[in-house]
Amino acid sequence: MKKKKVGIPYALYFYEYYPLWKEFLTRLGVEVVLSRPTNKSILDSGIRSSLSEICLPVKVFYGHVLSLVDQVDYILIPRMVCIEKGAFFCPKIIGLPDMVKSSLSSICPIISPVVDVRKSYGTWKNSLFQVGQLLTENTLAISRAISLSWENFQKNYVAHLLDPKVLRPASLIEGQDSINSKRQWEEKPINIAVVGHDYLIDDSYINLNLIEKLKRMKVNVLTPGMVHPAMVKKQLKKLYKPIFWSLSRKAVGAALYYFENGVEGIIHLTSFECGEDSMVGESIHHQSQKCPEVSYTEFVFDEHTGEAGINTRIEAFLDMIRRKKRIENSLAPSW
Amino acid sequence: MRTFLGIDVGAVSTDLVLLDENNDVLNSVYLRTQGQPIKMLKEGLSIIRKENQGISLEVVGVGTTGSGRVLAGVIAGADIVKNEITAHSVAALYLNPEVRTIFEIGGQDSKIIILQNGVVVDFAMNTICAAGTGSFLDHQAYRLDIPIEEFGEYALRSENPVRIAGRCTVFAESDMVHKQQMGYKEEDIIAGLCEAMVRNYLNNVGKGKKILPTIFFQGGVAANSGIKKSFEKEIGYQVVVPEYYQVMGAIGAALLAREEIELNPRPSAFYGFELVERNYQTSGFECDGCPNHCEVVEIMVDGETIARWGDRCGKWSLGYQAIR
Amino acid sequence: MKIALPRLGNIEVMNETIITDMGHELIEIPPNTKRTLDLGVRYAPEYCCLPLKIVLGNFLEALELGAEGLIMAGGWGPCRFGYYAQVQRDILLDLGYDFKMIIIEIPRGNWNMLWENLNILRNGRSWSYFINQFRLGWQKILLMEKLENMVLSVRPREKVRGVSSRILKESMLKIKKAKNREMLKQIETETIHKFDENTDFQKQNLIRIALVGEFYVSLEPFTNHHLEEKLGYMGIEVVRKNTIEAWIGPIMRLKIFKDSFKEEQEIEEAAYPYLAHSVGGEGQTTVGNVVLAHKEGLDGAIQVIPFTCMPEIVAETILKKVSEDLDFPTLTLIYDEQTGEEGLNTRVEAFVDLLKKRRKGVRMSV
Repeated sequence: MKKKKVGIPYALYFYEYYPLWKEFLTRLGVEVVLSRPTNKSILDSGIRSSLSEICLPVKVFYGHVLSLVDQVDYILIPRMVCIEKGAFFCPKIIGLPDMVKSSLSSICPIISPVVDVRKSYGTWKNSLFQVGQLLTENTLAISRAISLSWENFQKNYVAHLLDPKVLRPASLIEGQDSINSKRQWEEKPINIAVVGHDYLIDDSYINLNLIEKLKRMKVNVLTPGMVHPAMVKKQLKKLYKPIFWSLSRKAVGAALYYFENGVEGIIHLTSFECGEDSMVGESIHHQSQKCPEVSYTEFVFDEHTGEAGINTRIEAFLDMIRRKKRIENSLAPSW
Repeated sequence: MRTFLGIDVGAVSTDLVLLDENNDVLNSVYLRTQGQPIKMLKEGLSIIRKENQGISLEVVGVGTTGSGRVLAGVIAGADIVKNEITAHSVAALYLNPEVRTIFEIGGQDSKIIILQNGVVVDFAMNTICAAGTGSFLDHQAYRLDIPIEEFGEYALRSENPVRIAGRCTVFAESDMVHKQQMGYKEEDIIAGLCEAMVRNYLNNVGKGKKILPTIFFQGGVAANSGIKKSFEKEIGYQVVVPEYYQVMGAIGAALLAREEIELNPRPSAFYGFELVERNYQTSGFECDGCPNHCEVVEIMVDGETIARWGDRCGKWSLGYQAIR
Repeated sequence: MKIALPRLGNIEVMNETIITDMGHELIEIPPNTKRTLDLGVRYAPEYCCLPLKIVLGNFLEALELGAEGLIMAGGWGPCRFGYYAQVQRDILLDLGYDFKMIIIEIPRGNWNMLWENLNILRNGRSWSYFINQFRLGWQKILLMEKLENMVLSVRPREKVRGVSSRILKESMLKIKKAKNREMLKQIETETIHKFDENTDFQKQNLIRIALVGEFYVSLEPFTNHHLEEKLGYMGIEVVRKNTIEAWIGPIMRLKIFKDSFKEEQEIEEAAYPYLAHSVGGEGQTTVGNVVLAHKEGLDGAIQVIPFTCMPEIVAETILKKVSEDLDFPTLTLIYDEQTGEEGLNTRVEAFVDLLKKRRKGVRMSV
């Protein structure tokens, strides 16, 4: 029998949950097709097929769905509602399967299990199980696949966090030894935390290759993924009101962590028209006013964001940090 | 004479300045880019050469800035290529070390720069649209059929500026047209436009920034006294328009070139004023190597490729002069 | 304490009852104006939604008048509304104001805050008096809403243009001053009588449009550029789908622990084929209400939303499909601080023309 093919759009929450679904589906003998990293045609088709008011990440998601339509039997779009007490996903993510169904008329069947851990039908295991039942009748195999893939997902997630290559406390980063020539100030690596949603930080097409550019300019880039969830949780306790969006929790907790932990600058990546970003951006901005020693800036992305503008912003931000340090060390030009 | 050349190639204007060893402006040139940065750059250089006929000039350092800084850097042979924010702040700080805030409004983009003890501590640029920029005013001037140079005068005459809504050019335009049709006075509409622009600038670009004196207002739009007045009315501080407000970016680039050469002594990479005789061509093509379809730009001088950029993967740009 | 409550249509009718009667000094926030909006826009995050900006403007105007306590509702997502109070508080603190944000929300874990805030409002009065006045305040809201809903069908039939709005305004002032339920009853009877006197009952079969969408924008006339009045004067009967009663009613009736009510259930079921899950705010309700409006034989629906509103963008996307499937015209109006009156008028007029033509088309074919 021909293997069933399930397509997974490489966008939004799949930046976090793809490994879990991939392993689970593969164990059920299903072929998983992951859409290609975002490119021009994916972005363009996403923009064409969605309302102009929708935020960029959802447009990108549409584009990925469309790129899969002809290749697969099903497309997986879980309805992510709630994965922890007291927090939700954003309304557009909760409504995502319905939005896709409404906007795209010719589309293959969508599998949209509900993940809502407050409800018995919505636990991770139950939603994985529902998906399994659509694909095979062998319930034993489904149960086995669930427990193995869930276990691995948890294990890898934690292992990923503990990997020394990934987790580098900012204070340990090289380049702290004495510096005596003016040139060396320009060359010394600086530590910059890039915070925001994973789907912006890791999508190099949308963020115009920001991370690579920073690295080329001798920046140690730190991301929310490098902050242990326990630290994130601890930082969030400082807020006047807990944040009730799961995806933003990580971004804000990490930002607050980095403000205290020796980075020279923080860049907050946001998407234009993102409701979450508009609010949590304010929390991060508020914090930045209390930590003037850490330079802070916000980069807004949308489909019109131009390379030139972003380059200027990056360069100006790094200049600002480097020139500040130079003056602090009285290496300013003599005239 | 030892001199430093600063070049600012923007979307709307191409500016050049030549500084002497006391950092005094020997020549300054302000030209409309008109979509032809290379031609204008060459023209600017010929003007400077002509103005200095008979004087032996040694260009010790060249700096470029502006949205066309990379292109200008390749064409002229720059010792440093810097972004506009750094360039503008360096120039303003040189003129007045006390400056705390810079409003820079150019043709296509606008910026705010916040300084403290002589260093930039915060900055912002307009995002997405052009509402708080010079092209917004240009566009409205065209619509009203009034030369942009006279906008300031008109605005100053107004006693009752009309309220024009809209951060977006499109919205503002429709509101303006409506106000025209309602029969408001021209000067009141123009003053309203100035106020709308200042409001948009402060609400978008200047959001959340602590604006403290001394305040510099530079960039092409600073020529418009109506905008200066609206700024002062809105923030309650005096706003200073420096003498060379139009070419501050170029001055900053020249100062940065000097700093660079003094930091790392070396002969300048400048091709000399003779470059105006060279023949530059640019061409572009869409790479179809992957679904990204990058638009690659190629710069050739007398038939030989000297630079390429625009590709994400480096397939085309590798091997050519790396642009910082 | 000098206390202020943000504006939302005529919600001020209960101010005296729940603030002055508790011995507080009431700071009346001036009506929403361009200035309110300007103040809010200046200090609010650029891309946050419009209601946050206007309410922030209300607060700034209240603080200028010397307010010390600001009452605000809360929530727990996923709609941004749940953060309004916190973000506004941060902004106002950054601006150097000294005040107490009195946030009324169903707590998650921390009941102390609600207790503390209720005690601030109670101001030493007995609980029974406090609850009684709160209930009276609630009765005022219910009556206000009832009359506002009535005026929607009176206005397109009024004998003298503008008379029903005037009657309504006068009644609101009376409701505001009313001291007990008997007075409210009397106001109700009087107002209905006046409405009847001024209604031309000959006018039948008017075009009826459902007003759906985001709560604040749909109920706040300044914010939606007086859409209800505008439609009324065009001879349209507006059917308001969002009500304060449905919004806080469940809490007021102390039925917070019950999951859903009959009406809500009906709306949810109507939405289900298109939007199978609540998305926060009024997202699912909007979809359900449009389906129901079609069922009830209305001519069309207008969805009003603030720019970037998350739940309503979900609804807007889905309404395209609903409208197509049911052959039911819908118009989405997106509001933000730069919405110009003319563009809005053009779209509303064109939509009304479209509905009128459809009516004629139907009649001809019958």
